[in-house]
Amino acid sequence: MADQAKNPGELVKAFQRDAQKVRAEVGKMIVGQEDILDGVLTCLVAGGHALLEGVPGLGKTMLVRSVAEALHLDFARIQFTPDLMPADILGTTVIAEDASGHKLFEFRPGPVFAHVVLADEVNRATPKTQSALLEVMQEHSVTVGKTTHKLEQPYFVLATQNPLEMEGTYPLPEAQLDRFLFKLQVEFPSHDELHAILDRTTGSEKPTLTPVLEKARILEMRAVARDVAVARHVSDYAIRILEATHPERPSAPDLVKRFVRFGASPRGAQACLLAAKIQALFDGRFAVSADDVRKVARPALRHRVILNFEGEAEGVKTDAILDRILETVRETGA
Amino acid sequence: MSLPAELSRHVRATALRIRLQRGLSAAVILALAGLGLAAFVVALLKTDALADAQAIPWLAAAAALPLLGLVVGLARPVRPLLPAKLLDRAHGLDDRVTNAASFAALPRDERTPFMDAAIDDARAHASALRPNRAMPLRVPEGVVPMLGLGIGVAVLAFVEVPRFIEERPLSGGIVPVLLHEDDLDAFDSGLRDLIDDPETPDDVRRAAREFNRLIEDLADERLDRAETLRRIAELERRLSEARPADPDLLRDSLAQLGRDLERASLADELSSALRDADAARAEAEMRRLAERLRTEQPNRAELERLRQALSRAAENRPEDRSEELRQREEEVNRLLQRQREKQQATPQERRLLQRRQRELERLRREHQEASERQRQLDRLQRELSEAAEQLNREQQDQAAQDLDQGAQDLNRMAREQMSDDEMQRMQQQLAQLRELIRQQQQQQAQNGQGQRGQGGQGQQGQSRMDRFVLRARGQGEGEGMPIARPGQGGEQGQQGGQQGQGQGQGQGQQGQQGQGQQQMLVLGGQQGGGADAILEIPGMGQQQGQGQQGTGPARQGPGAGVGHDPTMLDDPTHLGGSRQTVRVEGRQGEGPTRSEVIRSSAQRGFASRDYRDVYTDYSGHAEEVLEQDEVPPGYRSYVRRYFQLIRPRDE
Repeated sequence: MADQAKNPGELVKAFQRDAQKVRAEVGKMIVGQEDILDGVLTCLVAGGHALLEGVPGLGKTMLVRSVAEALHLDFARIQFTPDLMPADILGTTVIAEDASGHKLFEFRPGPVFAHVVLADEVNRATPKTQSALLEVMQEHSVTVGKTTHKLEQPYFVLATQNPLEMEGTYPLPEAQLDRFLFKLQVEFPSHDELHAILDRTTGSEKPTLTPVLEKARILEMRAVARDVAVARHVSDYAIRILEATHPERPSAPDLVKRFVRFGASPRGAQACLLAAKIQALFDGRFAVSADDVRKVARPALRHRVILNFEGEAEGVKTDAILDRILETVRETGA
Repeated sequence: MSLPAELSRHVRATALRIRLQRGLSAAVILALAGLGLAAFVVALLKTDALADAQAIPWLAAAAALPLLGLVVGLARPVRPLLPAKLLDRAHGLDDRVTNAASFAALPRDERTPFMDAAIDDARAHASALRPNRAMPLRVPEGVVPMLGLGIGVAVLAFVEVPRFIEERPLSGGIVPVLLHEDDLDAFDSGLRDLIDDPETPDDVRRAAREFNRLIEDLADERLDRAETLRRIAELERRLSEARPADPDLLRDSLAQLGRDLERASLADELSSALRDADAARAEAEMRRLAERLRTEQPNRAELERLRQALSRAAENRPEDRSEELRQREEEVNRLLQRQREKQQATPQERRLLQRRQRELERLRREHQEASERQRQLDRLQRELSEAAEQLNREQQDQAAQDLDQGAQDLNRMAREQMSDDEMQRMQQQLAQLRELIRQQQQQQAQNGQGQRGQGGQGQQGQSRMDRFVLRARGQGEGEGMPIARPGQGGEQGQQGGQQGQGQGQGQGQQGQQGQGQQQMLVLGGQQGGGADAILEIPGMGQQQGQGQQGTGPARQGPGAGVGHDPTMLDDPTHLGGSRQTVRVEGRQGEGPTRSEVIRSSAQRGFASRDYRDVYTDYSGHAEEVLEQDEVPPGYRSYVRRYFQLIRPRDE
């Protein structure tokens, strides 16, 4: 529970202020991508992980690194390749000598032992390696032999998938995708944004980032986020959106009945609500609104709705399906 | 904790506006339905497919539908969070008010600090809330169609819907009945007034419409003689059935009441009206008496006399005829039974049987009407009795109330009376029409022609009628026309039905009425001729001589006395019974005298206001005489035909 001594007004104001600080700091390095940044921050504060999708060169790595720097968190980047082994990312036990020359087994932690981990092109690694990462994401610990090594909080994984080169890759299975809080789609920058990018990256001056928050503050922010109030009718609305993703439900629109094989799991509703709380805090409010739910519905659910063969053959986008659901599902009480 | 007052006030106001909007929308929708229903009912009314009394409940239902819609719309429950939601949306508050409403409804121990903070946050925005922004009242969608439909119904109600008469081509061989336009107009104008008058009772209006249709068909030359007479007979039968079988019962009872009230000076006028059996006037006088009791302070003696008179009137029961009627019914039933038991009945016996059956039906109807009439009179007498009782207790106001109740009973009787009077008039007109047709047939039989017009032969008759109508309207030449001399069987081809009749008529006309002498039908001139212009009235006996010589051999009519009604009282060449000269006295005042009006009418026709007044007086007297005196039936139609021809025309 957040600090009870402080009243909610102060907590929310502080939250807003700190989030803005992070945005401003990261904004020195990254041009545009405000939605992606907000999504990343949301996942971080919610204690979840994010899946980033976008063509190479859009600044995904730079974004994540900048966030880590602004939050004074350890950052590790793992480039997944087909020959990457689980031990390569988790760490391994090696034989080492102590000061007295005795040999002993020593665990050398892998790159996952950072606060912020960027798992690049996670779909290129084998399922075994993917599973290792996913297990770490879930458990926040690494077990090697009989020893379990806890990962320090906050722990945040951003995985990327390259949508271009899918041949010979191992797309994450649906069950694994469900573990990501958000799936964020990085769009190509606009014309003006490209100008800014070029100005910043091809000039002599390179911006530097200074940490604006500490990890303890992030944990506090997580606690505040959990305290945000949710009215019954709002949670009901989130549930009805979730139910509408299931083709067998009467409330599902025709598009869902036609193209969807499986709808989102309850994790989807959890993700929606948690993310909506953080959205409310970003706006300086004490309670979640239906608009907050609508705003986070796409990133929270787009990777949880599984298309059937017809949907995939027709090239239907899950975003289009979610848009239709949001049009048809009315707010409770409205 | 409930929602803070600053917020709940706005939420309630928004909820009210939601209800109001719903009510308006529902009212408009049901108004459309109601107007559709009203249009349908009005259309049925216009085409006589529905009676007025049947239409009223439907029209009332149509009028009630929008009110019902409004009530239902207002009463429909509003979803609890909807007003708050609308406030949030209109003011961009991101569900602050909605969340506050939701949290405020929770028990205190279930609320978290953030929930309370959310409520406070919403309250901080309360001053900026505007329910009219959240729920602006819009004009419901169907308003324009509703107005259009409303106008359409109003137009339909006031516009006469043309009746689409099925065009039945005249088959070869039908010889249509041809009546002069002026004659048709005479029947039509009277019926029009009845149909258009909103006070006309429904049954009278229905009968008038039927009669009007008959006149229209005659005007369109669609009916031959047989069909015309059949329709006349049908109408007469319906009128007979609609009229009370015993109209004297009410008159006698009212007259008796009037006599009972004679001695009360306060009830003078009332007594007079009742003695005349004029229920409408009696109603007005009774109300006037009630008003006097309320507002004035008559002296004790007058009140006591009134009380006694009312008591007497309340006690006197008219003769109970139900026993007599019942006995007659039984007697006719017995005769009927006996006749039916006979195996072989002769045609005469069968006719007698039918007559007895009709009589039995008439008696039953009479019995039923007598019972109903008795009930009405009992009610009236009860009111008079209570009025007397209240006067005994010196409760003038109460007595006045009772008299008002009695006036309502008289009102009902007056309406029935009016209805009966109107139907009687229509029956007379039907008889007149029948007579016209009969005369036409005789004329055609004599000259073998089917020319339009009446009272003349062929083209000559036509032109005479046309000339007369022109003159009657104040057009055409007026000098030098011969005096119309009635009843001389005069010119060639004269109708046999006119012969031997109309002699010595002239009651109420200017000039003198001789006793047993032949008189001339003079209009506008003095006896024996004069310098004034005079008017020849077709069909009332044409003069021989003075340029009116016929072109062929003179033809005699069938002779006097032939074809007369066997119930004539005396030698057909002489009027029997005593006659009484009736002179209508004029009143002093400005304008021409009556004699001047009558004299000038021969020149100027019958299209003046003065003439209308004179005509009304004379025709009224003539009608009274025809009803009260024993005038042979043949003469009655002759007199009525005369007054029909000289009726006022439009200026």
